[in-house]
Amino acid sequence: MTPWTPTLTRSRAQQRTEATQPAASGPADAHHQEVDAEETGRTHTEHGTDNQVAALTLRDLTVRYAPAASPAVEGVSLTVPVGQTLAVVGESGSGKSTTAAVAAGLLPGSAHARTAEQRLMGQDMRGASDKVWKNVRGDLLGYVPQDTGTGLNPVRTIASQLSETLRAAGTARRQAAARIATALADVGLDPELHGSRYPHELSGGQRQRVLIALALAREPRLVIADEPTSALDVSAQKSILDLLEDRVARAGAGLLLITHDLGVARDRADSILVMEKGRVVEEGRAERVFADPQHEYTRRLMSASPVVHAVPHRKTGTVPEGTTPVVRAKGLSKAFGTGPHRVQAVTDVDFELAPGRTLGIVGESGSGKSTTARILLGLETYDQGELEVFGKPLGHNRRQGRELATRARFVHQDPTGSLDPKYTVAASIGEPLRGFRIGTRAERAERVNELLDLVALPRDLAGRRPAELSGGQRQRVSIARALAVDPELIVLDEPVSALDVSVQAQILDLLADLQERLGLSYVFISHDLAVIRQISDDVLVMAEGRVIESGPAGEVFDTPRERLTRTLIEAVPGTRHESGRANVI
Amino acid sequence: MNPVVAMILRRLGFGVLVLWAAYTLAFLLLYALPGDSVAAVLGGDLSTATQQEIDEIRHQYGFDQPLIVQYLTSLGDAVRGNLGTSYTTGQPVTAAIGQALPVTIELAAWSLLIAVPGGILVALAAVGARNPWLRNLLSGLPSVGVSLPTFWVGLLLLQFFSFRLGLIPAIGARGFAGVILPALTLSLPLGAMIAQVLLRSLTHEWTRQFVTTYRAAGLSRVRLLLSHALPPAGVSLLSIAGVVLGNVLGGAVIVETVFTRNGIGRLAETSVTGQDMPVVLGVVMLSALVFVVVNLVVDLLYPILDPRTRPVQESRS
Repeated sequence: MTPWTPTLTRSRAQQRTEATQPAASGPADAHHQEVDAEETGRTHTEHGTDNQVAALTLRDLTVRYAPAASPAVEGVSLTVPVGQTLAVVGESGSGKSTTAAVAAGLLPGSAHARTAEQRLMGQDMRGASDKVWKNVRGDLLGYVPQDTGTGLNPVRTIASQLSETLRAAGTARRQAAARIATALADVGLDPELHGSRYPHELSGGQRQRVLIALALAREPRLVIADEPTSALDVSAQKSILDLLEDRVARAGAGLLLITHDLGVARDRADSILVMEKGRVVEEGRAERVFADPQHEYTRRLMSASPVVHAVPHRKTGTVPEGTTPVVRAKGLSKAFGTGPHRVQAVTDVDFELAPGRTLGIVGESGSGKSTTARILLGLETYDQGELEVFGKPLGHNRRQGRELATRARFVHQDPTGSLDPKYTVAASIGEPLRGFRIGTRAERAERVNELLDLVALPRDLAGRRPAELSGGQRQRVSIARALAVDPELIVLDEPVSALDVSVQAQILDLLADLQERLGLSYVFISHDLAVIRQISDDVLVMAEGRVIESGPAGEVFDTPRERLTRTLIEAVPGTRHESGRANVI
Repeated sequence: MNPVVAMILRRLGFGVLVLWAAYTLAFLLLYALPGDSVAAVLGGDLSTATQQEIDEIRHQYGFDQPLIVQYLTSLGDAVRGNLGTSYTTGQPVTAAIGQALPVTIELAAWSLLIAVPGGILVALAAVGARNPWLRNLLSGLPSVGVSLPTFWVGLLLLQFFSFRLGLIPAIGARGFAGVILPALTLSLPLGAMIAQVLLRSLTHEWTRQFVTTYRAAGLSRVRLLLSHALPPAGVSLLSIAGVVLGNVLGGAVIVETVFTRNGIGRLAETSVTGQDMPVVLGVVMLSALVFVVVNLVVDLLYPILDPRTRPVQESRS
């Protein structure tokens, strides 16, 4: 650990607030401009050198989910000074969310937490009762959960559920309504329009804004945000993080930001704490950690994290003249619904995919990328245009789908949902073989073993069920299943988006390796530009159903022609501090 | 057309179809049953009747007609609201049902009045209890309640309240005193079923993220339970409304027999044992009608209770 050196730099949030709002000088601003930023991760409240009370102090935290179990979190200490942001970074299972749950008083009753010290704005919270916690919530402590679609009550309107929290704290009905209107306006929502809606009528980004409005409605001094943007695409992510940063700075609060995304941590945090398997492996000021990572795990996380400006690891050759493209689409269009409900999902899309190459389709949610993929597999019809798959026109005839299914396969984003929980690994992988009546029982069993080898899964996993596998292993099973019938084309729809970065890197390596060995062609769909850049030869950037930019991956990313492409690239976390392209993270 | 009106009309159409199917199936099944309808009319004994009397009855009730004619005639009558006359009493079926119905409605109303709040309370307490021991105990209650045989519970209640304590006369009591023991008996399996279903969906909602969201926003446990977990979980109760009603009717057969109440359940029981075809058909049609109406009401209530199931009126972004 770096020695404790008091420095007089101002927090990142303050710098931004001042930069964006030079005229703003509310009481909160005046108050926290005096704040000294220090190396966090140290308990300095007792040193007497600092009379500023920290928003949050945790010392020597250990959590076990069962009395005899090995600890989920062990010996973690952290401090969030008022007006600063501490990011806790780690992969799933690192204990970062458990740490946040302890800090927010949300640990389930069955878990056992032990701390040497736990203070919230100086108040001792060790062993605090539900009543004590209830009293600090809202006023001292705000919590922003990740919106996985269920962060808000589905059967009540936004305004009704938000104002209830204020009314429960003793605010009069009319006053509560007024304050909720302000809170919604503060997060860029229309109180009239969005307040009267139900959660399912809002987008993921809008719901996350509501959650921020809720957490900050009473201007708490500490905000804990647990993966607040992980479910969002890059541009929504950026605006949500900007908003969170701005609102936290205006409230003069401290922010404990839990994230698996190093880029997010780098852009937003004053200090960083890296966790692995329940322990803190590295901590320090953000610039220092990124410039000079000390721990092996931090370096590994950084190298696994794909970054847009990193050199692509694949060499993009040229396609020899006269090769029949695997897929050739021209003027492809598709609309859903009729009359006033008609939605144009895909408009006038052109592209070609040569054998052995990867076409990356990138865009935000709702840009038409998944519909395009479904059309070229014959899973969806199209209204207009021409489409040739393997040199043969794919008409509007659904029956062609079955023949096509032996040559072109699909891999879904969510292997948990696309694998039958009751099937063993072997049964899942062998399913297409049985479906197309390929081989005898013994031959199929042998093929399953080959496929397990191919995707680098140990053969003794064959008898397991999906619930007994990790996320990465499940995705390998999905890929093996797609490979079972020896296809030539695989369409991958967000295949790594649900995975941790280091697992993500392994799956991408596996895909590249398989492509080389088996001569596969890929259509790779992702909202993650860094992943697309890493795997693709050619790229289509889609927005609102149209292709707005296309070309070789390097060209599109290095010299984007369209403003929207540039915006997408700039919204990628980890790019905010980039001065030069040579930067590896 | 207004989508709601169109939906109601479509559902009513289906309802008529269901009633027709129920009538036809019941008619065919009853016809296929062993036993002689003439014997049923004569009180189960053919030996004392002359051939002429038998022929007369055959002709009077139309038994000498081919099956299809019998079916069409009785269907035509049924459409006009005439369900025929009882073989055993000679009373019109509609009158017999009309007499029995209020008795059963009284029983059903009291049972539901006990079962619905009781079931909801047990489920809420089972999720909300802080003490894990109490939580386990309460969670186990519904399964026990569902498993207890209704006739046995009825007899036990009679034994205790009427014979041992002498609080309530075993038969012949009117008003509340007459209905309370049968209602309690019937409400036990109903309440247990309601509690079981609600408990499952409450437990599910309780683990959902919005409960954490609002717990973190400072809401109390009671408020979380009542105003956040209960509304979405309550929707699941709606989906079992039809099943609950089926259990009311099925349970009424047993309870009314045990407590000798002359309701629909008793009517069904006696008409089945006496092979009184028109009455059995009438009871079947009544049950089918009740199901159709309840399910229509449930479908209309869904969009009110759960905004996610509302038909999209205009495209919203």
